[in-house]
Amino acid sequence: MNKPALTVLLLLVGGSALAQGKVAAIDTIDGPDSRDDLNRNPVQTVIPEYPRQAWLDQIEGDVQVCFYVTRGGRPYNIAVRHSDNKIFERPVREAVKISWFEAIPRSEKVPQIKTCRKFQFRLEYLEPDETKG
Amino acid sequence: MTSELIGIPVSVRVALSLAVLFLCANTSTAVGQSSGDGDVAVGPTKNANLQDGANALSASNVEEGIELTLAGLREARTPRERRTGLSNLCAGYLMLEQLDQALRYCNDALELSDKNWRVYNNRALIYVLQRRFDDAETDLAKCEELHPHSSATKVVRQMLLHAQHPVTPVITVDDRRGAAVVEVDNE
Repeated sequence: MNKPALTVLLLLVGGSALAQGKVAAIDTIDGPDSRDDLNRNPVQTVIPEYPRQAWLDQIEGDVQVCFYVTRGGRPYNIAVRHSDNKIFERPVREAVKISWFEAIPRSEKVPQIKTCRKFQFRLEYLEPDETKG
Repeated sequence: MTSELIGIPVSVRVALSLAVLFLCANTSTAVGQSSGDGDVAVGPTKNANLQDGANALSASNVEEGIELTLAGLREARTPRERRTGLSNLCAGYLMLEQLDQALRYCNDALELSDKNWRVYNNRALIYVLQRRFDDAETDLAKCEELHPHSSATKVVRQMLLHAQHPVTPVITVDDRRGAAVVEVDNE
């Protein structure tokens, strides 16, 4: 059974979150129990911060990372598979490192498959009125 | 408040203090040397108010800095002291976001010398805040000609970019099944 890809969209409004270096997190998004699937269910997906310099220079880009997940749900061996710009790689690695997935009980076999996650860093144009306050 | 009117994100505006440049009335540069930076006073000045004003402005004591610089300007004996005073007043009023006053002093400073990249930089920032983007672009080009690769100029250019094209970051996370099945011990 294929589980639909999980897409999480986070809109970081303004620069306050960036300035404070906050990392947003999104709690579990419930889905069907997919232990018969090889995919691991995310429990918490941490959203990286948009690199301040990239934002100031108005640079966009994509980063795809692949990693394994321990039985306990922690990502490890995080490797960049594709990256448009190195400036995005570190925040992505850090975000993935502190994300986690559903644990697998001892009685079950751990799927031996890499999980991949793609991060798209985009800048949306704001009308001048939207920047007030 | 001006900052809310111009539509520049707060975190970009934090860079404002980095972009405002002062001319120190007293530098450690030895007499006879040129820093190549435009209008930098050479050797200690006898104008104590001008010096104290520059120090106060650098320490973000803006009102005090302006007061002392105005006093120093009244005592200015050389064109250099006058240029320095005018330029620092431009920077000071810019920090207070009194843009018309700041612009007046920048223009006065440039009338005395049009080779001072710092004044162009500060005036470009004023123009950004006034949303006079073409004028800002002209002054930034002049800065880059007089003093290439200045980080302060880069900051103002970024502010110009964000004032013209304000953006907000959007990050999308997309989880997909990995294709690669590998042997791995997940314990």
